[in-house]
Amino acid sequence: MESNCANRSRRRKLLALSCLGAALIAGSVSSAFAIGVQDECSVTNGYLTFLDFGPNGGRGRCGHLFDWNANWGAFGWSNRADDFRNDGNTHNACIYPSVNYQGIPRHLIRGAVTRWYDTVDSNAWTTSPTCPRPPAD
Amino acid sequence: MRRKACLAVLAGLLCWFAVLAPHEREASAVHRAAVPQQHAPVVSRAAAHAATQSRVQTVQRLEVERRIALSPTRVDRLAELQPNREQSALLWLAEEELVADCMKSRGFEYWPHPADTDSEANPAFTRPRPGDVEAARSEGYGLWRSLTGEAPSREPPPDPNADLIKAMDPVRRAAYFEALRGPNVSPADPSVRQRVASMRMPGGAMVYWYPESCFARARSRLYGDEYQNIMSGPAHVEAEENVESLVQADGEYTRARDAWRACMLRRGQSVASSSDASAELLRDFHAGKLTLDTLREREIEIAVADADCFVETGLGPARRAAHERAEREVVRDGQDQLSAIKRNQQLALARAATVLER
Repeated sequence: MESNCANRSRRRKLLALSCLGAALIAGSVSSAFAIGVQDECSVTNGYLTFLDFGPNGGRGRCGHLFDWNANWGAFGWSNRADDFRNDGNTHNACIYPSVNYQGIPRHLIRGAVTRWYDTVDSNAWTTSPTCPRPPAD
Repeated sequence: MRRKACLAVLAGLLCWFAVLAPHEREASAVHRAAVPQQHAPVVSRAAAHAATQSRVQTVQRLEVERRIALSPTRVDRLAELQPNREQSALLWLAEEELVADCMKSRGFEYWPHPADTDSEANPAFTRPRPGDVEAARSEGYGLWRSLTGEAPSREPPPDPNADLIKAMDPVRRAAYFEALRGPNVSPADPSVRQRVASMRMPGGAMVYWYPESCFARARSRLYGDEYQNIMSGPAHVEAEENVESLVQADGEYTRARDAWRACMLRRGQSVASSSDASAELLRDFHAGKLTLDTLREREIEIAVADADCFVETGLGPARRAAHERAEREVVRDGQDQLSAIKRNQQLALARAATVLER
């Protein structure tokens, strides 16, 4: 069902974007059990998987990241992803509302899914029960 | 006051029943299983001794945890809810041991992952600090560097189970991951909906997961099932968000920001904030209005003015003071909830120590 439409590789950084097949988002996307990243994006072990909902409940776009990324704008995903799943096996994932790991992050345990509309700008990984924070300004 | 004390005792007892009692029952089941061996006297004595020791350890553990659950706990700063490196490592190693136990009970091998305690010292955190004029002159906001892939980064340590997983046939691998993380099926599917747990975060976002997965079971054994009271849970996030809202509304800080904006305007930069300036530069770059070279030129120009104005208007000290005031208020108003998080952290640490002492 899925075919890769773009692959962009950076040093120690990878973002794989996938165009999705025919699945259409049905019902309200705000429901806890609404169709989202769990349905639309394949599990990629070791990655943070995320989905940008398509317009008007249409097709979405998936991305997968490993490593820390201080600026999602660098690959065109600033404030864009809506649904997130931690497919990592060795770390909890942290997603931040601003670049350079600024703002109040969300901590995503392994295997968990969460929704945070058009907000995330950087991501990190941790084995701590809280997210790493840069030193206060 | 008395009512609060009663509630704390009740919460402690509930915690004991919910989290510790099942483990106690498991331990009792092991002891009962040892009873038929009484026919073999030597084995019986060894088994009885082991059972007694185990029971003593369980009672001691429960006593420690009971004391923690009932002890008065106070939070003065939100930073107290952030475990230090040693505590983080202890919690992670115990969680991994519990994942391995769970996987073993489901017929799978699992090598615990080591704790990655370098997160806090991550080179990725070495961004130009606000008010650092010299750094602004060479790095700007750090945008060019992040776009050219030269931003400091770090690779996560390798997965010790990678080879094991790679050697599995597809069916076994799928079963392995289902045991570890839960079914790879949408929570919207009626066949699995009953197996999904969820929690509402501040702002309305939901987090959901499969509580029967080994990842979730290990976590639950360590932290309990009361997600409201875990360190990364909604209560903590809400407290931080409340602090930030108060900071943004703080009169003195607002005046300092206005002064900063006026200073920027005098230098020919019309921007609302540093983050807005960064976002606009990136937007222009992605829209093709700026090349990499012009982006670098422009970001240095704005960032230098930003740093100069930051120092000139005292924006840093104003923010720190506003943060201090806001934090005091939030901690005072949310003391019960924050104390519960801290107590839960102490309980988790006690449980982690027990797991690792086995």
